[in-house]
Amino acid sequence: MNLIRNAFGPLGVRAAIVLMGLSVVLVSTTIPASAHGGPVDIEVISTVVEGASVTYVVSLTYEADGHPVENEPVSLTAVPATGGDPVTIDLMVADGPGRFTGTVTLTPGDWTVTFATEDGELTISQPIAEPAPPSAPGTSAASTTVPATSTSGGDSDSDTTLIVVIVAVLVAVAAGGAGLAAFRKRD
Amino acid sequence: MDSPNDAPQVTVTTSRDGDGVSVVAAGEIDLVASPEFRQALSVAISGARDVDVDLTEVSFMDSSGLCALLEAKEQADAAGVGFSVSAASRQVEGLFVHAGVAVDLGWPTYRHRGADGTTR
Repeated sequence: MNLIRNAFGPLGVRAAIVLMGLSVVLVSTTIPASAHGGPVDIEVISTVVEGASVTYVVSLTYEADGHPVENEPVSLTAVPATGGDPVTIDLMVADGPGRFTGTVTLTPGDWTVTFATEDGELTISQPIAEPAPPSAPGTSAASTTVPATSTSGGDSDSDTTLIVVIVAVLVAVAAGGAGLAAFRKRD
Repeated sequence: MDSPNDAPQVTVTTSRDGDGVSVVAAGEIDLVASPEFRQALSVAISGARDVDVDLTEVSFMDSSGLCALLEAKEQADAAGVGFSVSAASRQVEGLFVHAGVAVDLGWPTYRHRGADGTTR
């Protein structure tokens, strides 16, 4: 004790004791509980829908302390509202503590999706929209081309009509002029 | 059954029409959900000619979501893919304007309405 007192002095000993006490408190509060259990909260972080493919990311935490759930099997069961066959997959561990992910392919319609572990369950509804009709470039181009041709034909017709009208007017003027000349000659 | 609290934090719906891809996001895009948002954008860009992002239903986005958008924009530029945000909620629009990235993301109303609601 004298050795320590000599080394640190009276204040140094007190400081060392305080530091040791603090470090014990710090270590005891930062070490995670070695045993978890009890009810589990399941939260859907994201749903990414691409056509009929749906990718879920869920987060699992223990209800008691909010710590992430690790290494616990999580299943996904999707049941169609029409009463068809359910789709079941096991979710895989994803990036991030307590995160699990999985992708299912669902047909258009309303589905009920349930995520389940041994100690928790979450059910959500998942509508899958009918796929948009694929655009057909050929059809689109054709529909664009046909009116263009039709329009072009219309222009040609109107040009022909214009020429006919001009010729008719010229003929009428010429006939009128000839008639006038004949009338004057007779006078 | 599901309650509002059970709703996914973010939902990203991607639909392809030929080479064009439409990405519609809804919910909150923050530090928790931004990795999935980033991943969805990355997948949408791959193999597309144009990507249009609709953020109208995004009630909240923070800097991590904005970062995901800018990274996606970079990825699209590098791949020669068109990338723009065509619609966004008021909060997201404000984020774009305050961060000074509205033009980078092809935000169309930037020239017409500022963060304070004034016309520019």
